Formats: sequence, C-alpha cells, structure tokens
Amino acid sequence: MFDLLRSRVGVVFLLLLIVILGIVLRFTGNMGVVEDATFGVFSPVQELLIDVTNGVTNLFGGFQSVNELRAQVKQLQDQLNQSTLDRVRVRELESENAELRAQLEYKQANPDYLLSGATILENRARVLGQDPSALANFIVIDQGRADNVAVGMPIITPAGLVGRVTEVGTHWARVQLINDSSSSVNAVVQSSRATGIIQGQGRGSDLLIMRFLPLGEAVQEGDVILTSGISGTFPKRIVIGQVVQVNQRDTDLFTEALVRPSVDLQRLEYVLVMKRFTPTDITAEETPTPAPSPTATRRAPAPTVTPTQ
Amino acid sequence: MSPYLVIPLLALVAVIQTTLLPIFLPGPVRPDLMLMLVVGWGVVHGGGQATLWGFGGGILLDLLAGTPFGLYSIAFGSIGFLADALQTTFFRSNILIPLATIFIATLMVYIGGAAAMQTLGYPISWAIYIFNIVLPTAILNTALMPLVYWALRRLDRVVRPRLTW
Repeated sequence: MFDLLRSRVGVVFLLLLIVILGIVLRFTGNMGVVEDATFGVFSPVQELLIDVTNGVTNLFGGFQSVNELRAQVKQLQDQLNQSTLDRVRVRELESENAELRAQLEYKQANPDYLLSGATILENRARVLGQDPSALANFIVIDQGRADNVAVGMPIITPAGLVGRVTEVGTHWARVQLINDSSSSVNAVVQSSRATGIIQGQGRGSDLLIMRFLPLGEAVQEGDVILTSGISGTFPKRIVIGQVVQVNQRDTDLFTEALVRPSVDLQRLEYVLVMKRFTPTDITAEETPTPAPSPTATRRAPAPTVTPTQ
Repeated sequence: MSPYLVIPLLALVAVIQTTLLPIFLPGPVRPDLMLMLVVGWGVVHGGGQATLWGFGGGILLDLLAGTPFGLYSIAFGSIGFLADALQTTFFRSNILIPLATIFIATLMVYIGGAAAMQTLGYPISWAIYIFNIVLPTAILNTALMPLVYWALRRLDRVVRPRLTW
C-alpha cells in the first residue's frame, strides 16, 4: 500500500479517489464537515492575508486620498476664483445697470434732448502722464458718423457735463473733456447768476477754473456751476461742478474760482451724446433752477440746434 | 519536488487566487494562477508532476472557492496530464509552447467548467461568458505566462536534483 502511494500513479489514483469522494459528499450533502475542516485550516491564513491586503490597500488608498484631496483643493480653488470673477462681474453689471438706469432716467427727464448712449473706448484722461504725447484730455467713444454723431455735440452724464465732440470717425468720436486746457464752456453761478467761462487746467489738475467772473459778484465756495447756454454750444443748466475755492484780488479785473467737476472724469465708462438740444440763455432768467428738469426744458421754446461737423 | 514544498505552494496559490485576487481585481477577468502554475510546471518539468499539481491544486480550489466539488480538480488534473504530455513531446525551452498551452488550456478549463455548471443546472449565457470572461482571461493568462514560466524554470533548476515524486 505504501509502495503504491510512493508511485505517481498511486498518488494520482488517491487524488482521484479524493475528488470522487468529494463529489459524492457534495451530492449527498455531507461536504460540510470537509469544508469546515478546510476553512478551519485556511481561514486564519485568509484573514491574515486580507488584513495585510487591506492595510496595504489603505496605505495606497491614503496616498490616493491625498491626491484626491489635492485635486479637490485645486477644484475648489478654481471654483473660488471663478466665484470671485463672477462676483466682480456681477458688481460691474450692477454698476453698469445703475449707470444706464440713471442715463435712462435723465433721458426721460429731458425729452427735448436727443440723447444717445455711448461707451468709452479710450479715456486719455485716465492714462494721463503715461503717454508723453497725450497733451489733451480726451476720451474716445464708440459712436461716430455712422451713429449721426457730429463735431461739437455735447457729451454728458446724468451727473453733469463731460465735454464736446472734437473729431468724428465712422464708428468712433473723440471728445474733448472740460478739464482740457483748451476747453472753454460758458457757465453761470447757480445762486448769483454771475457768468464766466469754465476752462480746464490741463494735466496735473482735476479742478476747473472759472474765469471772467465780474468783481463783486457773489461767488462762494460750494456754489454750483451750470452751463449758461450762451452761444448755443452747450444746452443750458447742465451741471458742471461746484466751487471749491474763490480767488479774488483787488488788482484783478475779474474774480476766478476753482471748480471741482461734478463728473469724475477719471472714471468715465458710459456717457450720453447730446445729438440735439434746445439752446437757451439762462443768464436772463431770474429764478435759478437747481437741476435739470423736464418742466424747465419745456418752458423754453426755441429753435432746435444740431451741432454740425 | 517534495510534497512538503508542493502542498504549501499550492495552498498559497489557492488562497491568493480565491482571497487576494478578488480584492485587487474585483472584475470578472482575473489571471488564473493555479492553471498557469499547473500548465507551466507541466511544460517545464513534466514527468507526471503537473497531473498531481493539477489534482491537488484543483481540490484546494474546489474547497476554497465553493464551486461544485470536482470541477477544478478534474479540470486541472486533466490539464496537468496534457501539460505533462507536452513536455515529453516538445522541446521545453520554446516559449511558444507554454503560451499556446495556457491559451488553449484556459479555453478548455473555462468552457468545460461552464458546460459542467450548466449540466448541474447553472444558467450560462455563452456568448457573454466566452467574449467577456473566457477570451479575456485566456489572453491575460497568456500575457502573464512568460513571467510564470521564467519563475518555474528557475524553480525547476533548484528542485530538480532533489526530486522525490
């Protein structure tokens, strides 16, 4: 018997017997004892292997988690960046909305004006000092000849006067700002009706200077300066600014005043092109009007003027 | 090769195949280590040992895998017998022999096993089974066979002087 087991045929025979026995036990439902014994032997090994495997898996899983966390951090950072951009965009849109709403209200309040909104393409006032050739303070807007914009048309915002169109292209127009040193605007002191000329001081100063105010005329700090409408270049009662300083010397023939523009010319984004308006000289009026109003403009029937090129 | 080495080796491979591989490769396609071991040892060493390894390893797999008893043991024992026969017929250093053998052996074992299972009442969807499991497993076994073959040749060089059965 032992000799038989030592031969390969014997071992094969034995194994075949085991297989047949196992099949019989399986079909008779008595395999449980053998399986219990088998798992009793192998289950500790299997559990050990599973524990080791799980440990290794967790270790690599940890590395994977770190990578996932890094990816998540990057993703969250991207989302945060996007959110910041969105927030900035929303603020910009809110600002734009408010500005356009103000322009719309201004247009509705001044039906005599033919106003057209324009976007600033270039604001040389904003980049003053950076461009050596920028001798003039001007902006470029995105409306031109194709939009019926002509030289001389006033440019305003709901806050007040901005300037005047000096050059027109097909789809653009150059606007001389009121703080340009070659700009002159007929103006009136709202409270005293004293007239003068508002001129820019050029680069280096945000303030306008009001010249040719008669001596003795009442002009004080805080007075509001409006366009006078004289010469028909600008419509009347457009706010120019507010007096911040009065210079009056006995030797001078006229009084001068420094005026802070009501429009922040450094931060212009949207303006209105006044394509048609009714020129009226308000210097003769006795009752000053604090702000532009529909009734005021309707009260002054006059020929309509359209600036020409 | 001493049974004191063979039995632990077969047990280790059986445990790895039934315990570890499902953890690392949860999909249906996994390398059949025991089959590669039996076929590889038959081609490398021959002499009837692959038959014994096939029966022994198959019995362990039957016990540990929970499949109907006899399925793996008969299939692997038969494959081991064929592998032993190949070793005596072809020159064993030809790498194409173990590759072709494992590919054909995988097809035989898996298709034969499925047929047996179907006979025992298990429903088999043959097209899905063959294209999704049998062929990918055969290809995977074939791809890994050179590694097993190389390891078994080294083992053969070590154990050949001390062969007992």
